[in-house]
Amino acid sequence: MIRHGNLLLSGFSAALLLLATMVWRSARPVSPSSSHPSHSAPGLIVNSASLMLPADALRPAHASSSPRDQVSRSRSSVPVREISASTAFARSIRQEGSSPSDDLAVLQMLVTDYRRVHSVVPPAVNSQELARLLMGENPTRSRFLPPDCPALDDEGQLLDRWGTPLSVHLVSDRQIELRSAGPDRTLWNEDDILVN
Amino acid sequence: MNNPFTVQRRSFLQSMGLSLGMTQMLHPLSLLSSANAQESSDDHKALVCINLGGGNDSNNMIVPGQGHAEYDDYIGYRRLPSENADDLPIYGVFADNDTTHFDHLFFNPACRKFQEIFDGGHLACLLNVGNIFARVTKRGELYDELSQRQFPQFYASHSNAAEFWNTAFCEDGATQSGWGGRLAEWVATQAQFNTGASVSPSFSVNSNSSLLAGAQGSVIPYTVRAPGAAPALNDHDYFHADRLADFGAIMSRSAGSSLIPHAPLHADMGRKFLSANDQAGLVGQAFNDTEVNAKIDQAFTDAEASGGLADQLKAVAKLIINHDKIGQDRQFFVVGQGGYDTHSGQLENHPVLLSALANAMMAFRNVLLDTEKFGDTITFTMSDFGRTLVPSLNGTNHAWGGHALIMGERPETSEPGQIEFRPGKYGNYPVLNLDNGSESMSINQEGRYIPQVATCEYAARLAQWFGVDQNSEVLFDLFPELANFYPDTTTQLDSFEANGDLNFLQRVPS
Repeated sequence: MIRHGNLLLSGFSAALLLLATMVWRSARPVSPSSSHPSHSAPGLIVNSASLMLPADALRPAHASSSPRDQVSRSRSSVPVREISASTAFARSIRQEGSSPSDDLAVLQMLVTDYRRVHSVVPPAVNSQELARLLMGENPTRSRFLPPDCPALDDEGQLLDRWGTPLSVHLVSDRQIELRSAGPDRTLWNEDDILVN
Repeated sequence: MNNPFTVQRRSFLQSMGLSLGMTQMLHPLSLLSSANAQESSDDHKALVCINLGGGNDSNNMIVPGQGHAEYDDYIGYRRLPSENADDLPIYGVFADNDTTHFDHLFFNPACRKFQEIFDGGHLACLLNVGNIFARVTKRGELYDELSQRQFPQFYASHSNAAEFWNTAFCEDGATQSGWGGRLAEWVATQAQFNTGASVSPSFSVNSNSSLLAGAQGSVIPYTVRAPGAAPALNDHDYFHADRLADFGAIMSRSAGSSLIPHAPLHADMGRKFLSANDQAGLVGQAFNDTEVNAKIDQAFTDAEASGGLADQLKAVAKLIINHDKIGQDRQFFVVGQGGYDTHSGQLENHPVLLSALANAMMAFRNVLLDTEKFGDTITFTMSDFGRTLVPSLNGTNHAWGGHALIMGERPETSEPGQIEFRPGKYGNYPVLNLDNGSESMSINQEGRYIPQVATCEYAARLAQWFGVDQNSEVLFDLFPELANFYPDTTTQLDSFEANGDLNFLQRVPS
């Protein structure tokens, strides 16, 4: 059953990757004036809602419905299972031709994928925690972000293209905001890039 | 062209001071129609919750000074990543270091008035309180031997943390009623409290709070605007009695309709509007006492207290001082001050918030002292979470445990068996060292400290003072997670009362 599930997942993920890439290409950042980020902070807003993948493509075979059971598994020796649809898409981060906003949109999509598997967003309040959770330190041992992602630094932080750790703002168990400090490397000003 | 009804309806909603966010079930209108002033006993008590929205950096509110064991670490970690040495250390500039009565802890000078309140014997500080559902004292205990998680997963999420505080229930995914609402419902079942009162014992000012959402729907929280109760609408040209009756009928009928989105909420709102309208005249009496109003205005002017929180506390003061006019001897208030999510601009913004908080609490205390109601009132703070000890850029990040303030007055003569306020410091200041591995109280290198006092313990002790002090069954029913901390049912109340960390409200020995 597990092998069958993996085969299906692999085949489906290739199709999804193609579809998601097309949608991603069509996604365009909106101007700061068209939306209001939380905190009333300035910044460029990216909407990644259209990049969501089907939940079935993301659900590992051993996903549990009990949070306690899930945590128990996460602390055991259960191997990490790669969610290939997500990790493949994550490899587009910092690809030639993509923009810093695209990187954030991809990460936000991975957060959405995580939520589809776990029902909640990753409970992270900094980029290091977010990366660990997306790489498999989570209740279902699911990997959404490959460890060789070029946005990761040696300390496991997720950096933007200017080398600043991404700001992670945990609003609720259903909402997380990712923010790049932008070219000036200073958070919470006009050139920030925000995904919500 | 604007729809005139839309405009008037909006102003109607605003005039009632109610918003769309309420989901509380409501008391049958028939029980709420009385608008007559009621009698009140001398046994008056009011709980006033000040919610510091966004997660207060209490590390910057109560600061270890020279002589405190954590002073060096505080200075070491609380440095801005600035190239300018003159900027260091920049958080928590100390008040005068010549006092030791607070164990070398000091208030930030921005909230210097807290020092005055403390010196008057009217302030207690509960250190490192927060959302936990099991006692964990160091990082290595966050998971138990069976790898079960011993902490709420979303303790650092605004929405979840606020819900944990409001419900005093921290298990992930558990939806509970607000503990203030449960407390108000318990009051409603007690013959000795609020006898014959028609107005809800729970009030929120300028907002609705899930803290006041009951479990049974038997008590309707009453929302007032800071300037006062809305006038009754029955005599209004537009909202005369017939229209209001029709409005109620329409809203209640929508409850059974599958065609109307959020139909139950419509019915809920309709009942609340009408009950608030019924009670507007009565509540308005508390706001129309010109002598009291003048005293309140003067106290707030003298304390340089202004702004949103000050206005809300003025309204609360009016309702407390005139509690007998509305027949209440138990009252529960929720007010709020936002802006504490200081990811950036902390140096500029946080002192302003602390100053406004301290000034407003000082004014509130003074006017209640002046009117001899201060001894009846416990004012307490709560906030989503504390913030990281280590700053990031020009702000701080979400953390976990934080410090809370409780303001009250110790009675001149103690009465054996009663729960009484005691000023001072309660709980323990966390060991700030981030580098001692699994022994650390900080779960990471940002300085995110494991709370040592649970939200439910804090709330339960406040509830005891309010009157729930006679048996453990009621207290542990109102606060189910208390049983996680005091599991032995034969001794749980004694064990709970023996916890010295909670002795800001302490039972006088018989």
